[in-house]
Amino acid sequence: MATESLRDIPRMQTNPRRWNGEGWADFVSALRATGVEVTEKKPVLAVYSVDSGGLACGMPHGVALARTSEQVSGILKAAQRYRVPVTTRGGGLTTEGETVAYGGLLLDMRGMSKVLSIDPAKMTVRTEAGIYWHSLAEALRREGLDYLSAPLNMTSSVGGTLQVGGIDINSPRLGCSADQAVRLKVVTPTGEIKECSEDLNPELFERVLLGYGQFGVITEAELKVRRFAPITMHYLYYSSLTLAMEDLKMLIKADAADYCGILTIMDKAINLLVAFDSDEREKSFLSAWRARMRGHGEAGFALRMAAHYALRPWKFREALYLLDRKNTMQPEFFPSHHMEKGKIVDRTVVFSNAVWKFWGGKKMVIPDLATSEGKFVEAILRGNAVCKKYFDHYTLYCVGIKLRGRLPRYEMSCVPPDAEGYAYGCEFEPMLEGKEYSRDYLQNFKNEIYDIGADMKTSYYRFGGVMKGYIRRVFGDEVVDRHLAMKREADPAMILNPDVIF
Amino acid sequence: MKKNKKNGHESCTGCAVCVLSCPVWAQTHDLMMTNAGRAKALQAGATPQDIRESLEACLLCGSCAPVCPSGVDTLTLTASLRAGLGRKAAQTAPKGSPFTASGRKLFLPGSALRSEAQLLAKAGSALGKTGFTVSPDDSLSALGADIDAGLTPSREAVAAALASAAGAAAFVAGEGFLLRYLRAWFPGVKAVGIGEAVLSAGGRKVLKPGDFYVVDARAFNSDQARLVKFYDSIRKSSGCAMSTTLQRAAMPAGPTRAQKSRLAGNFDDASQARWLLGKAGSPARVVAESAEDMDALRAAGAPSVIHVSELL
Repeated sequence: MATESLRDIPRMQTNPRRWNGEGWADFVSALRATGVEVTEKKPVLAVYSVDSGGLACGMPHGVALARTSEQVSGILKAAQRYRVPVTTRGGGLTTEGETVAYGGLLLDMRGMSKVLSIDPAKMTVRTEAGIYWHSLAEALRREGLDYLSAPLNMTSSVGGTLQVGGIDINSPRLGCSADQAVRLKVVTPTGEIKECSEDLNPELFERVLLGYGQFGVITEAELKVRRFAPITMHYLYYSSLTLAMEDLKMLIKADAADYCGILTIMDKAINLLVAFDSDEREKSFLSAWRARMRGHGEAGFALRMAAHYALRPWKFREALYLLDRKNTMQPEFFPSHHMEKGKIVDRTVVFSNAVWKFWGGKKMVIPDLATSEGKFVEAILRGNAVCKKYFDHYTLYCVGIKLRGRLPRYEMSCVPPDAEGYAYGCEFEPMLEGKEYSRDYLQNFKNEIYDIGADMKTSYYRFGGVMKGYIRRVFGDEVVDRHLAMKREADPAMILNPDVIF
Repeated sequence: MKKNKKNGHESCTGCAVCVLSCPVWAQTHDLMMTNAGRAKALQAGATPQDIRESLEACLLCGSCAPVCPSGVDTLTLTASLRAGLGRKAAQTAPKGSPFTASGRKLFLPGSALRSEAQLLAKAGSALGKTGFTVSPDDSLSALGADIDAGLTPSREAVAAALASAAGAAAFVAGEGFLLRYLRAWFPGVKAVGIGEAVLSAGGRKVLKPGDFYVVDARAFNSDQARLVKFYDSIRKSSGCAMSTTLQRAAMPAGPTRAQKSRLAGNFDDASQARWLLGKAGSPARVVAESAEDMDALRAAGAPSVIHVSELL
């Protein structure tokens, strides 16, 4: 982390003690004696050396594939005994190194990827938690079912998502993925295997959900499901971020759309997408809400943009960029082989393909802000100004998240403490476009975004890993110390995911 | 990142989208056994020998190729790395009687169909109505088998195999794997899989609701952007179910017979075929394009399995 970027940030880490490799050989011997396969081959270790962000880099001493809850239990018991850190990883889609192991054992949870049972009567699915959401969707589709909400990224894992939140464009209606969990099987940091739910071991349930991997390893999850429905998508175009955000909030509070979110090309072409599971909901939106929305249709927006740039010919490069971006991207959001009768069949596949194609890369920098409704517009406008300062091209992605009251799981999470009813989030993603930026430059950018959060007392989706220097600053000593005490009680040797939060 | 050219392992971002339709992943759930794992290992300096087990396990079905957001040519990458494992050069030699291919439309059945005389006769007869002649020469098929096995054919063998079909007007391949090579070896000459050929010749009219149609993954994935539309139109008009995944790629029901002997039981094709069949619920009939998929589908307990050529 750049020294300059840490100006004014208290340098006290949440848990400064570091592991030095002691006990590794005995730990591995103990695991192998019980039949656990641990690979220490360099080419394998290197595969896990970065997460999707590609900026935080670390090598585990060994990698094991999770296979059963009992095996995970044995690993964690041995880890406590030999005081060896264990970092869990699903899809590895973190960007701040949260799923990178800086030594110790990396436990790849994807070895547990079986769907265990689907109950159409109860509308639930029980699955091993290392499974990709996409693979779960593939299994559910055979029963005409779908998950409720999951990240718009096919290679997120269920267990990892439940531990951080999980936001979909239907989260304004259905909440975050973590709130879809009905029951979990958890291996605690000391190796106990426990079932938990809102009624059974509720404290563990609340600690593990949105718990950033600190209080246990989720090995199985029972989740709510729903009937599958292809969706109809509409795009409304804005040239004002403020108007788009206000309209987004209006839609969410009125429950006028099944899916909604904002996706921008800088702050020039702002796209408010709305989508519907049924023709009835779509009709209702078109009749009751469309006229009140201040966004334009594509043709109307194109005319406005043409007029805007005709009066500003010196900005022709920006106009060309917007046009090229629109022409390249738009077909990817309506690919004919994922459409049926004008509806998008698999929104996650379509969005995820587009995300990886247009925003993916070996390096991804996606700082974010998570705010209450009242702070949403100001925070995003301030974040937008930071993006402009650092990059020519960037994207903002804004969504709302329905909350289920004031659950204990929300404390010290991406849900801001002052959010009532809904939380709002925005990702600020520069288009790196093959240009080389120094690590310091990118870190400074992230810090400036995070400074907005610290200043406005918001929260973040990605506050762990490299960004954990912000945790005390944002949540305050009282909350952090209370969680640290809970962590020490649950994980006496502090071995489970040691570089994420504490 | 625009998908405008075919890239090597260095372009892999590690997104693992390619993993989702990978049959080896479905069996192992081990990233190292997939294209994504291999590419990241290579980026970190691994040699083909370091990832030998993973290279050997790949079925070369190509399901990863059409879905890669970074445009990595996954199948060519794996095949060339497998060839780099240092096996002895193959002794591919022309097989079959001397034959003049020039101007003919050739049907290359491949070893699996050739081993089933009745099926071969039906396929030959079905395609014969559209002007295709069963090639008596197996050289191209043998060449494909060598590439699949990671064997490097000699220049002479390649030249002889290509000469065996020189001047051909069109190809239908019974083995989907061969298609991408036929398109490269004979540029400008139309090469399609047996499924597409039979369906285009009238087979599509015989498909009906209750049928589960299993595409030959290696044929489908070699030309996915075009074929996904072709098969969608048939699925919609016939009402049958099809085996493509949510990503609209195709997975094989199991390894080919040659792969099976190499994998020596390290692939549970019955479970893979059951997984594929699970997409269809309880189909009245299963129609398969690949004779080798038929083996796995029958072993998995599919009720009635016919080859696509039997539709005509």
